[in-house]
Amino acid sequence: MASSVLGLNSDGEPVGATARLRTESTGQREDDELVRRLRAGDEAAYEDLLSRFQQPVYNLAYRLLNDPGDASDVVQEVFLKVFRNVSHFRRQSSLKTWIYRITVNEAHNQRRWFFRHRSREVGLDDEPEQIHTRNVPDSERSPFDCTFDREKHELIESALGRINPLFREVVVLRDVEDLSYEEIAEVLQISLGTVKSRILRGREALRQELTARLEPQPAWRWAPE
Amino acid sequence: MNCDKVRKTLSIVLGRGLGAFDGISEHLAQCRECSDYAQELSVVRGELRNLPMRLPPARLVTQLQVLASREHLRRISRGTLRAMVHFWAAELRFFFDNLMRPFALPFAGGLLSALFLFTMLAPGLPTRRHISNDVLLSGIFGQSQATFDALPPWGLGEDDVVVLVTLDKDGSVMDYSTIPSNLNAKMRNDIANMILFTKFQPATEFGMPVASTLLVSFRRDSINVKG
Repeated sequence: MASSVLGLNSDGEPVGATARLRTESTGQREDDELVRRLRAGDEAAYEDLLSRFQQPVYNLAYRLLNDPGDASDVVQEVFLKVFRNVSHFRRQSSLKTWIYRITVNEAHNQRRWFFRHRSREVGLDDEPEQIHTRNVPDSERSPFDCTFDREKHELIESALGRINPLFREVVVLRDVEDLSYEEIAEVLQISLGTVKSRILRGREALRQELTARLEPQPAWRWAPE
Repeated sequence: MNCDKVRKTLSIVLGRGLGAFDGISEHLAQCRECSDYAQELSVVRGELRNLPMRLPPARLVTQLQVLASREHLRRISRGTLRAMVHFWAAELRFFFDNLMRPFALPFAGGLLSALFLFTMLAPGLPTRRHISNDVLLSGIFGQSQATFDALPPWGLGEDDVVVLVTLDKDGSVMDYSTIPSNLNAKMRNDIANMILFTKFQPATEFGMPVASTLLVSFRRDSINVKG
């Protein structure tokens, strides 16, 4: 019963762990080949890098910053740094981990810049940017289900945006981007124990946020005489 | 295993497995609160994993492609020394083109305006003409007739005669003819001697000597020359 609650397979291993190990060496070879082509100035390699990483990098930046404009700025900075510094990539980590590390650092910088400058600004356009999602409309689902899912996602994203950025990073990398603890430690350049601690506290903070939002508010209450 | 320790471990268990944490399964089976806590954490994690992937906006995709293209060009241009020189030469030329381009239209407009104003105003401008200092050009651009310098001291015989002398551009006699043409031998000999010892000057056109003819009229007591 506990296994099903915790999302584990019958052997007690997390779902997808075996497949991840199997594809790790293939991914490493692809990374090496891509890096070699980038260093050689192969034009198609630039396209390959973009097609492979622009979506996850944008997704990560969006989750860390919770703003599409800032996320776009960060993604451009990230790819500029990747293109210019790929010759300095020492292959001590995977290409994905390296790019994610740059993304997290750039998001840090963007957040710092925001608190210094833009927090005092007032936006003129109140119209929210159109949100692009991967969801394909399913004719089988009712409008109620769709609305329920959308509100649920907005609620979770909102809660995610309210927790401490340090905890948000690890939670996003672990639960959204599906990185291993070791990869998160590489990306954030912190110890494995710190990763575990932050994930624990991040999930707890998120749970508390969601619990507080989902508690039913009484429509009326007795006023004391 | 108490509840605090189980709750601290649960987060790791969610991602790893129960194999390394034997006591947790038993505790969760017995403790309702911890089981609910585990359930909530699992739901939160599941919902996070189910969040829709945010796709980059189309504008960002285009900007990234432009960025990739530019960086690719930059990397190629710095590959070899020759490529680097070519690249910087092109950059420099491009820079100067762009630098001069803002001046091109004002410059052309100013030049055309100046030309227009000059052509409009120049005929009416007061100018002083120093005619007295001008050099006459008639000697250079005009024409002159052939002449001769001096005749020999002896005269001709008994009759008047007209001789048509053909000169080249050096003043040498190329041919001659007489009127009347039926002269006797002594007369022809005298005329030939007369022409032989006479120095002629050729005619000129635009200051340059040219071939010409000269009509010389001999009389008993005088000579008339007509070019």
